[in-house]
Amino acid sequence: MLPITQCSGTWSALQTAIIEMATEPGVKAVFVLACESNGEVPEVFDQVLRELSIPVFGGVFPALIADGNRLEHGNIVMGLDVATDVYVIPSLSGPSLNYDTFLNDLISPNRRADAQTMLTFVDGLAPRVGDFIASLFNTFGLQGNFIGGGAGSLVTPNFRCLITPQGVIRDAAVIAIPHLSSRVCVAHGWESLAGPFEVTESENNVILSLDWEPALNVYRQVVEAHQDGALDTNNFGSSAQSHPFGMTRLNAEFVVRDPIAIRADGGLICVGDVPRGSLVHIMTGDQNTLLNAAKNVRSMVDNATPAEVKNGVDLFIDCISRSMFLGDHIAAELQAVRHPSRPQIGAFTLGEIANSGQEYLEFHNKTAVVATLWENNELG
Amino acid sequence: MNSAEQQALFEIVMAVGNGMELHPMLQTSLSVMMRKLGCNMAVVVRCDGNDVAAVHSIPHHIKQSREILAICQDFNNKQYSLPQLIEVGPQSFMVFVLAGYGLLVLGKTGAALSKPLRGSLTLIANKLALACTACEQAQAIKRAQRHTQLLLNSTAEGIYGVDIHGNCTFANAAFLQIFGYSDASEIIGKPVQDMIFHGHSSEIIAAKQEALLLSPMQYTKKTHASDEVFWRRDGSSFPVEYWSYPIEEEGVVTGAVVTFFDITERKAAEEQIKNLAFYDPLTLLPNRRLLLDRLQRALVSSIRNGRKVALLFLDLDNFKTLNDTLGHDKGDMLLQQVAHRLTTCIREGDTAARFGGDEFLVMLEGLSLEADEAMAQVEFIGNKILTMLNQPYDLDGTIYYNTPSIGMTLFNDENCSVDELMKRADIAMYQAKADGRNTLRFFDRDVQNTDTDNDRVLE
Repeated sequence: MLPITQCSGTWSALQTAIIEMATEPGVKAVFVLACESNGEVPEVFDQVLRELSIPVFGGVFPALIADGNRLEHGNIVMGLDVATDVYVIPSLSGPSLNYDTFLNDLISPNRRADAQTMLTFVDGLAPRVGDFIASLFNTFGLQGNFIGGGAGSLVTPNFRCLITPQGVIRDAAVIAIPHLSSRVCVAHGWESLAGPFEVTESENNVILSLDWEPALNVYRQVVEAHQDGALDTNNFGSSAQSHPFGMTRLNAEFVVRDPIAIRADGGLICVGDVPRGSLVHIMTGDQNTLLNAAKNVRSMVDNATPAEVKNGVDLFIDCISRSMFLGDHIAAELQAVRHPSRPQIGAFTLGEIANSGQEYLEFHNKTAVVATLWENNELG
Repeated sequence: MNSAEQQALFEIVMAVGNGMELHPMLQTSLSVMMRKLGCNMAVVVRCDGNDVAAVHSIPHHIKQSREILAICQDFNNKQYSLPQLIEVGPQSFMVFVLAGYGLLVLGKTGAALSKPLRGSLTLIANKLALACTACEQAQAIKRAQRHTQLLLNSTAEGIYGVDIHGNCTFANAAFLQIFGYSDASEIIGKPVQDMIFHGHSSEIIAAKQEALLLSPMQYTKKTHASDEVFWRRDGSSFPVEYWSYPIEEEGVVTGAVVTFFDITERKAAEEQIKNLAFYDPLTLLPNRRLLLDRLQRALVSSIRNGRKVALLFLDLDNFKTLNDTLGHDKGDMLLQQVAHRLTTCIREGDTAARFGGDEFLVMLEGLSLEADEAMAQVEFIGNKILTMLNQPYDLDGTIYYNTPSIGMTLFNDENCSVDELMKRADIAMYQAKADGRNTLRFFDRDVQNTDTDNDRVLE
């Protein structure tokens, strides 16, 4: 389990690297993280994925993480020399697919029962990500750890972003279940600025009203009191980066919801569902609170990981929106999360999927998720 | 209870118990509880006496957990009414009573929920219990409705309901098929009475109040009509038999249910039976029975209006020879062709009948008031028949010639009975035979007397 990082960000270079990795002795699956700057996926690449004798899985993201560095170009390829089952779930936008039933039929009870780590990537902008995440927990429960996030592009709509044995696809999810152990920790560092506000009207990921007031009015009132200048549609993006919503949980960090746009009717479009009846806070944060959270998540993972683990790999799933907020300070976050003696790979994602086996599986935003992965035989 | 706990409770109260379908309602309720309280499992269990059975859980496979079911069984056996906290290693299970329904179990790793919070969750459990019961009742009603609909749709009888204003409240599949509607929405809420019953078979527009269909709503009694007419969407009609039953709610009639079936086939069968009784199956002419009945009526009518009635008795000459030489099939064909020719010779209102074998009767009604003139009319028609029956017959490729002998008599004596008239026509026919066949003769009383003496032959 040794990752190879390519600085040359092209599909052809990635194709060569995958083929070479797939032919390495003992490699049973290939995990791939690719940059969206690779451009449009050539057909021949899909064909290679379909024809390879071992499964290839992963995603295409706005940027990657490799050993404490942010990569705007390039690819990461990691061969897994443990048995790995890969499952593809279609249609994260159509209303008809029942994911509970589909997953139940797709993955055998035995496979579910011995799953320890589930690397899960979804089309981050698909509308039914929330339903799918709920079904994952319904189906697997606390059986194993989930880590993953939303693949895709913030600038290119309908982007083919999921690397699967069927080719590079969109509007879907891919789950890989390797025989790997893991520890997963989550933190974000956002704090309440104002709230709680009751979500009195919402439509999936769109908040329409808070405390029976138009959501934008409430949001604007709070944000303008906290920043210089008025909040309008032109500067909404930058203001929203600093002030996400937080959904309350008892004795735990807020679940962050990132507002990314204003709908024509004034509704605030978020990444991820915000159910009616929820209590939300308008959050604030700065580089210090976020970096502290990053350091915190590093120490949480270290505390949770058995000391005997020497040859593991760290997978860091960090939110692209968090990266945009931190700007140049993201380098400090990457360094804060990096383990001194362990390879680190990761991606900047459109929403994060994480579960430590202790509580309900959530789809996070603006959050840092770190997992340490290691082969079962490390602990003897 | 701290503000975070109060906020969690608020969100849970807002989300729990919403919806009328059990599993989606429980999925939403339990997932919100788990998210807000930091739980990692939740199960709702149905208790029926001593039996416990998991209804819904998150994750789903927890439903089969023996450990959870054992906890629930123990809780149920001990009939606790207050929530219980059970700790198993790092995992704690909090069990709440769902009054009148079962139990709710929430599982959590780490610190258990505070006692005040657990106390407040009992109120939420009550709300969830009511919602579970309501969902099950709604499901039971839906099941009953589906069964009723299945029952309604599996019968060939048309069934529909009307409200007190006569508007359709439901219609089964047979109704839609019979009347030519593709969907119940085309008829429900509409004045079905006006759409399907607006005239009798005679095509006379029927007054609305004539319809027995609506009378149950006025008289609170079942009504029955054995032969009415309903009208299809395309304007065609069909005969029906129907029953209409009042719907009473607390002694007040609120509508009616009508069941009906199309009796077109039954009426056709009845018609066929009638034909067998009154018509000759070979020639399709009225038989002796129907002719005698009509003759009786004609005689009564003649006495009243004075118009003469005549009876012609026809016997085919040498018919036996045809049967013996060419076979009975050809004989039957001849009889059919004779019957057809007879019907072309008589006027509307007259009757040609097969009396039996090769004998036919023709009854002429509405003749002149004057006997002489009436006799001339009879003779004219008799000659027409004679001429027509002399024409060659094509018996399946065989050209055959046949002649009749025709006896004729006029009814001009009020004391003359049907039997007597028949006898007179018969005598006249024999007279025609005696005169060499292929001719017609009027009855003559003198001949009758002579005939009675068994010797004299007239003309």
